[in-house]
Amino acid sequence: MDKINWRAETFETVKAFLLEKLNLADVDYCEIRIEDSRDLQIMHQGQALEQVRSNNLFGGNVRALYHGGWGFATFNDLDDLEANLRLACDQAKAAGALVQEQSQLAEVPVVVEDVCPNWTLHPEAVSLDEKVRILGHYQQLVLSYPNIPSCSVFFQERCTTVWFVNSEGTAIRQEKVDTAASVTAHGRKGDVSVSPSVATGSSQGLDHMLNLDQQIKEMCELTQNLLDAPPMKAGVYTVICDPAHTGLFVHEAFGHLSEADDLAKSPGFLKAMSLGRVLGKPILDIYETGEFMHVRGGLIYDDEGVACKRADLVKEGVLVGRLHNRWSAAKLAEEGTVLTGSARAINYIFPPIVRMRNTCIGIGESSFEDMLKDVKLGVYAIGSGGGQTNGEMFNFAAHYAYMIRDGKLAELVRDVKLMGNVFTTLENIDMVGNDLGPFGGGAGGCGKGSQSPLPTGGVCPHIRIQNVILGGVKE
Amino acid sequence: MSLREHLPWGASYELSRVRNQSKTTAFRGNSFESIESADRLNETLRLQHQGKLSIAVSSKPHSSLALLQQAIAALPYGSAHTIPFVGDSPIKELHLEDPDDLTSQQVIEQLSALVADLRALDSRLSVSAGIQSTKTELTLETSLGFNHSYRKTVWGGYAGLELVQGDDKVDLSHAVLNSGPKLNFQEIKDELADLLNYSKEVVDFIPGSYPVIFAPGEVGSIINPVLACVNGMSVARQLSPWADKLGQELLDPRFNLVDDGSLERSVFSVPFDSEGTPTRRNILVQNGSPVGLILDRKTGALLGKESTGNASGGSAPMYHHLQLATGSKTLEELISSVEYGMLIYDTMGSWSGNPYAGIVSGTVALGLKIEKGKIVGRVKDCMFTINAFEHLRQHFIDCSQVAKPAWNHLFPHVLLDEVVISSK
Repeated sequence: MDKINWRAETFETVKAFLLEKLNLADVDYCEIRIEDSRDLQIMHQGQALEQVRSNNLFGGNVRALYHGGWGFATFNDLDDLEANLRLACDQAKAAGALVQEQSQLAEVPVVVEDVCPNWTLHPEAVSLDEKVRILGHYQQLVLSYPNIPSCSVFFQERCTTVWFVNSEGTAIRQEKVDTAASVTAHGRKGDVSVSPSVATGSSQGLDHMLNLDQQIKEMCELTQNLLDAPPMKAGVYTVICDPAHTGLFVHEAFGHLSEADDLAKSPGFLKAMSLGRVLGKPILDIYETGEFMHVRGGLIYDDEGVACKRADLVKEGVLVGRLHNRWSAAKLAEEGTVLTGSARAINYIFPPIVRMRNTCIGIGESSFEDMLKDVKLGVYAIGSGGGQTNGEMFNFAAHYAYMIRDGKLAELVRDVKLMGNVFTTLENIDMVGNDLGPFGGGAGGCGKGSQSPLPTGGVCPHIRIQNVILGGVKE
Repeated sequence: MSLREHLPWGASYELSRVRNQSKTTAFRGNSFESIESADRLNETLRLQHQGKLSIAVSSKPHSSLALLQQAIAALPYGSAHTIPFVGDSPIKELHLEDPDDLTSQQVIEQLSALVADLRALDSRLSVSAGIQSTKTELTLETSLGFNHSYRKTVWGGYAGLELVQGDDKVDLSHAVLNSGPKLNFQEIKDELADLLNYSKEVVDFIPGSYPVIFAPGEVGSIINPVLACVNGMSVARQLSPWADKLGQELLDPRFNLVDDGSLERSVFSVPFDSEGTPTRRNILVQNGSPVGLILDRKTGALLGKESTGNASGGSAPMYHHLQLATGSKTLEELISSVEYGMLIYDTMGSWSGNPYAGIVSGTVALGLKIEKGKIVGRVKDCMFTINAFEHLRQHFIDCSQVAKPAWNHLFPHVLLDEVVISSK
């Protein structure tokens, strides 16, 4: 079979076509991933509908492994599949000639499955007209407030059909959806400028963006207050994080550090992150999963054809697990390692690497009032404003914060950024809330290497952290 | 196939085809890892009809007609901007392509030697390195008769060192770019050897406000609010607090900033931007006064100005190659002028936040403590904060007399006073 009508053929026909191509691979392991995605982006800026952009992206790649060396080649035209398969195999052989190791991948079950999750409201079931109308309504709502001369309303959807086959016989066709929306008010008063936003996202539909009026009204009222709020003062504080900020915190503070492909290439840091090490108090549980489809990053199978499952990373304060791909699991060969479906690629241009999906802190027992009551001087940090890590140290920004004085919420502050060090900050979490809220929305995502932004999310409680360094203006 | 014959009556279009072919060879954690090649095609059609604009993108080859159908379907919901698409005009020749190439074996040999040299600095190091070559072919045509193309090659080499001592981890990296395969690996080795030498010992730092030297790679962070404010999009959308202050002296009079995408043999140059407007030298800040904006055809039309050749294909104009004026002192003289302060090479999270507020704050990922005019060790677990508008006006001490490339910038070291450092 030389040609195939990609969209018209049955699962069995495409599977047979791709598996037949893999017979040409004269290497230790080979896989083909093909993606067909329909993207839509709608952007309102200021008073105007700035852009409606529809993208049809089609392409694929071949990844090959030989004697421990990897080859990888991408293509845009299915007619080029065979040539790129040979190219990836040749590259793997050249790499393998240098590496000269036995190719090792952790064993996983062979899967043959046509996967389509249960959508709440599939984005393609809602007309473009309706999407533009809803977003335009949000735009007008924001601009109806004083001191907000401009706003940005952004929506994006990506509906993707992904084919994955490998030389072990796995063949998966998976439908994926990622939707995200953000509404940002650009408030200005004199020289003071603030940009709070409402962000939302999902892996199962776009119902999350239908009823944002109340959240947007609250944001616009907050904007008025933020314009009169002072910037954060630099110092060391007790910090209570709301669930969205906790989500960002655990993603940056710990999630990246769990990615075993990096650790496998860093013997020194792997030793520092030995399984069994106590990183936090017994109240701290951290886990990773793909099961939360109502936030971004929900996933059924990863880009190595491995089923997504919950991975316990920290249990009662002790490091108990990592996120793996098949290579890192085999390389580290740690006792009790379970593959949990964490190999992800941002699109067909890239090979899968170890990435987060939904990163979560387990629910605790403390009420918000309990967290607040004995804080003499502290900060209640709200929202996820982006973060970054180098493994040991990390940075995470809040949308805004309230000062805490003598156990009570006090004045609003703006321009709030925090930092931590994984080996001290996790230990300083002294309370975990008895509530849960979502993290991960808006148009952003996670970056690693040159693969950004990848949709990720999580579900987290409030947490309280002692001795957090905050940037800010002079006391 | 010509799109013209399928266009709705009275419609105009702009069609760009970009093909990027890259090859990356990488060592990671002291050992060889992979050879990867990527071939990426993007066709983008912008269609205007009856006062509406829509955009359609496809990665499928020969998809112009499908793109047109896609764009026509989205037209009723298109934005109500009128963009004057470019007509036929002469384009300046720029030499952006280097025909030289390296075989895979030559690339591997160069990288093997680089990794070996870097590992020799300290046996505890984990070394990563790579070489990437990218060939870009762009063709742009419009219904008004513009039809030009260019090719360019960019070669990049990088290396990273990771040193872990107990729980302490330091990451150092350096990259070089060239239009051809001759990459300056000696610069990478020298830079990393110097940084490693200063970074092995961790020292305390007392929180407070101090003079801080920002290395060229971090100057982009501290001037980010300036860049946001002279972007035509922010002015057109009333986001820039400088919208009605162009021409006023808002920064130190020694602050001069230029963007230039038209330099011969620069890896950041292109003969024309994504809309076909020729690139040029744009003076953005002169003697402390913002005097120019970067504009594409849409923001230009909104502001009643000509495009400056900075269209990016995205929703806002973008810079090509920023250059900040150098100062009067050597780096050594800047360091020796600091009684107690810091030299910051790398930060985390400085990019996040609202640039129009002027506040820039981030975790110091690689900072060296300066005491009595000398570097005495590495600082960790601290943050820096400035208000760029205030610090670049009132606390701008000097710049180094040599500028260095840092990605698409050519920046000197910049010394600011009163930078807030928070730590325990």
